[in-house]
Amino acid sequence: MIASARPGGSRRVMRIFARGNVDVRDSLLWSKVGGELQWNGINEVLRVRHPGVVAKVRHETCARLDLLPLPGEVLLAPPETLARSLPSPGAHPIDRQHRSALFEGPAEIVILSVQSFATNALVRHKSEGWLLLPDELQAWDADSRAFLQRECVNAGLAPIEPALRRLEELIVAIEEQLGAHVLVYNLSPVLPGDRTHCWLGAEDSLQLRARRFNLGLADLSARLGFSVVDVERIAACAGAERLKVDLFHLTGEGWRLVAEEVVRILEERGCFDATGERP
Amino acid sequence: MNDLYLPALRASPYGLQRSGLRWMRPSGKSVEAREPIAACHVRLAAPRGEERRPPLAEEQNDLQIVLAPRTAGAIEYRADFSKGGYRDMVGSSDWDEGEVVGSAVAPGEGGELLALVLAGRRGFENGEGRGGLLSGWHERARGFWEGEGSGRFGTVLGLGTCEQTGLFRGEDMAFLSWFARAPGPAQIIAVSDERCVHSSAVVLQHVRRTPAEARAISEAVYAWIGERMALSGSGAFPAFEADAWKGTLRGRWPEAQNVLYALYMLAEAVGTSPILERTEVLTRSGLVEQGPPDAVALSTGSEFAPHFRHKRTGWMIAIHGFRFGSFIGPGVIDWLRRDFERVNRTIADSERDLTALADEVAARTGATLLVQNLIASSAADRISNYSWLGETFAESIPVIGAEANLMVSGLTRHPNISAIDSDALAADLGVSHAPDRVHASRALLEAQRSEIQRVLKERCVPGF
Repeated sequence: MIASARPGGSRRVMRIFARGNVDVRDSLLWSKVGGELQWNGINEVLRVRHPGVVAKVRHETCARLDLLPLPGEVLLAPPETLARSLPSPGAHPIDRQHRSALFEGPAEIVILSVQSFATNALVRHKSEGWLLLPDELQAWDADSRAFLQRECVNAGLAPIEPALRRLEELIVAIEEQLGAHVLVYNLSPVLPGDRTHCWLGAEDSLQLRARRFNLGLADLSARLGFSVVDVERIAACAGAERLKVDLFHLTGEGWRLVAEEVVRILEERGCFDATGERP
Repeated sequence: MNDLYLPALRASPYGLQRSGLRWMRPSGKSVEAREPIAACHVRLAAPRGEERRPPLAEEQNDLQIVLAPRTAGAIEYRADFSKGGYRDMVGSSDWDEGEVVGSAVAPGEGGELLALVLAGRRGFENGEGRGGLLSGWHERARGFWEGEGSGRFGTVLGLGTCEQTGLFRGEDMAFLSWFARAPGPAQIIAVSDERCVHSSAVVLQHVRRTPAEARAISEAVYAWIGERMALSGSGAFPAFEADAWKGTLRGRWPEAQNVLYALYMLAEAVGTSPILERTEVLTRSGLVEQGPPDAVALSTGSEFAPHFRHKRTGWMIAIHGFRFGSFIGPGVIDWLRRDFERVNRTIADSERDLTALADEVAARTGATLLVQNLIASSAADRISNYSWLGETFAESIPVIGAEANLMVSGLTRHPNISAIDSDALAADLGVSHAPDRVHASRALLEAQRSEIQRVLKERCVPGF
């Protein structure tokens, strides 16, 4: 069943597990700027289009999708004591970067994003080989930064082909283990104000990486049948100049359009049908 | 009140004659700087005894000058400079530099008007279509202006699809948008794609063509036309059939479309490549010859138009799919089926040919290629699950668009290729500004012009 009856209530609960960063969180949960609410999440859309359904979104931030372990897989990770001792001032606590509740509980819908693959560069421990995202590095204390410099090397951005293979394995595992519908956000490559006409030396720029990942994601969707939430198209149709704040952030209107697209895709996949069974 | 007068334009030893002025704004109204207020036709008059080929010979029949003030303000003009009727379309009086034609109302304004010269090379000299600015059928149209500058003219050639007609010629078809924004001396040349699409494969082959290959193509076309004539049996000339004796709706000779289309394709294939063609410009100090274009704008969309290769000669042509039918003629379609083979070009083919073209152009003229990418996003393609496309996935427009745009980005590693990212510009403004991905709104065209102008400046093309 896609939606389960909530005890004592009349609305069905749609369980969504979301692993991603600002794109996933701001569109599905809420978007605030300076403490002011810009968009109140997917339930705003459901309230109008499917008043009998409420989405319960469980969200995890994502240092990078290749740090998310597959069922039964044990990834190399920093020792627990070290992970707790290193600073984690941002949205990616080090002791949670290699863990996920994705495969622990039921979810009818799993939502991922290629953003972390496209844009997040990791470091690798020289001798033990584990990876981590040193988030908000400028806020780290001097000792921790010295540790990082001494013990780790830059592992860089994710190579595209291995990243897409990893995403494929993940999606297959989700479908096998959870039987969930999988939706993956792509990334709008438009950077407002950017006017690059010569990409010499910028082959690995985030805009080009976003374009390559989007194309690879479409190819993967063609083979596996999951859905792509085409953030690139949404921004382009409405106008990125109006809708985009920077490479990652949309305005409240932008997040609303993305949430509406998620609901439309779920409709297309039959998630609101009476039975809620997968097609 | 300050006088506005005709600027200096010299063609010595030739004389310059103009028609009456056609006023483009009501007298007394305010205009912007460089906003056209009047236009006239001009022609070069040979001195007595001069027998050499005159300059601008191929554009003599459609040579026009547009006049604009240097600064904004209200303009009043002398109505008697317009003769009306056909007198405003044929040269009849001498171009008299310094002749006062109007005045600027505000103090400190006025002075010498700026001239934008328009030159249209007709596809066929008798194909007359005077009336508006650059009206009629031109296989090449150009606009050049010295502005307030001096020295060499920077020249841009627009060789792309109709998206570049809007971009370069503009909705007025007379380059007025560029005249308003580029200080000069600058020149824009537009060669349209109504007959043959200028993909990298077509253009590269044209640039490399030998006299022997040109002869072989000519012979192939002549032979085919001969065949068409031999085949024409009874009923080939409906204008003279019995049922036309008292009148008929069948006006055109049915074979005309086939023959003329084939001849035009031939004329383009064995004429000079616009990439190599030098030009002559009228300036304050006389006629000056300019080198080949500094920048050549191409459309990525050209790469994926249907391509055909002539089996015997190897002659490559490209024709937009929507041109098939009445635009080219049923006989030509039969000819394509019989004597040509369809060439399915991949993105890799396009990448190879664009790279080779960039090398060829760099070696010969040093020009930069400006490759305008595809507007890949569209409100019409709302695909969330690509598996539903099945076998058609690889050929779907969003996928081809995305792959082609990545290819174009990669090409910019080549030192003389710049990408014009129309996709990003459309995404910035919203793709409703180009709902069919090609034909852009005024706002999007202006954004594209700004982008091209910026690239030209970065590439140090003078006048922009």
